[in-house]
Amino acid sequence: MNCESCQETLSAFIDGDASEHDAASAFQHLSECKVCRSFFTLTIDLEHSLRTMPVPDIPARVDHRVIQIPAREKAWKEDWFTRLTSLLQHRLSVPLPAVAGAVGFLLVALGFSFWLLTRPGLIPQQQIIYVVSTPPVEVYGLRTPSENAQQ
Amino acid sequence: MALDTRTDDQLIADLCAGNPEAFGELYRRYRNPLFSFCMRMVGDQSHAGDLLHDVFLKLYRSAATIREPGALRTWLFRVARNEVLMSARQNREVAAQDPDLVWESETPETLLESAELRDVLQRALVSLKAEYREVLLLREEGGLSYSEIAIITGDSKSSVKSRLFKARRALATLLAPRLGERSSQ
Repeated sequence: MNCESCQETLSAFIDGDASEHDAASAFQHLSECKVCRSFFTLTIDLEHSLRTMPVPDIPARVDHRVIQIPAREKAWKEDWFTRLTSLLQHRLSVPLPAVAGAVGFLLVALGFSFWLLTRPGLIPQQQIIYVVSTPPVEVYGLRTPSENAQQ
Repeated sequence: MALDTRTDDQLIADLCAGNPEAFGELYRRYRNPLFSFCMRMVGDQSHAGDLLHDVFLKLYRSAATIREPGALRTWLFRVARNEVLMSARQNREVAAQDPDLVWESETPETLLESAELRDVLQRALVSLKAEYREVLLLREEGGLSYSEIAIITGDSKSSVKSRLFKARRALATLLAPRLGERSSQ
């Protein structure tokens, strides 16, 4: 095992993520290598320093903003209609009656279109016309056929 | 059952059922490690606060999508990491550099000017390149395993192992005189 792979294994060993075989090889190398022993000592000291670093202070305004998230999100959902009208009025400068008129017209147009499409008989259906015709009958006088036969 | 004795999964279920106190408890549990991670990634308290807020806003909105049991910690750090990267992209802080280069712009020599080991370490962490800094912080602040870090960063486990080693070696080499002093005291 060379120094590079030994030190990489030692780094993983500190994290408890080195295999038993790799760790045994690394410690075998460690017993013979001053450079790697020094690395190991320094890395353990570094780990201690990193883990004892104080947690940075979280500004109070951050705590307040985060804790308010559920209330803000709930208010956002409940207030969507007000927000929509407000957005239309203030951002797009469209008066509310005009918006209501446009929406109403759209609804009427959609309803009429639906009625037209679903109305029975609007689309011409093929009709079967039965033409009943009788063969022409010729009448020769007022005698019945039997009377004619007797003549 | 008191909220502080409930598991993360139970709290997520409570949150999905519309209990805002479950959200407060989850925030209490994860605010410190997530803020430390964001703070040491971006090096700015106000910016880190905004990122922390965005992470918990996403948690509130997407809690129902966290279905895998015990996955909350990994999920939170993945979102935090994505927020940090997105913010860095917007600020054009991430530049294409030599992948073997461990340090960002500040040179190690200038880092050593501070008297306190803690200050030097803080500045050295911020000066590490983002890909080295993130694995180190996910390990140290998040307490995540190599497999979990690999899931978050989208890398292989061996790549995570290698980057952690390089980050530690760079820091240990830089701080060797200070660490030596501390050990001998």
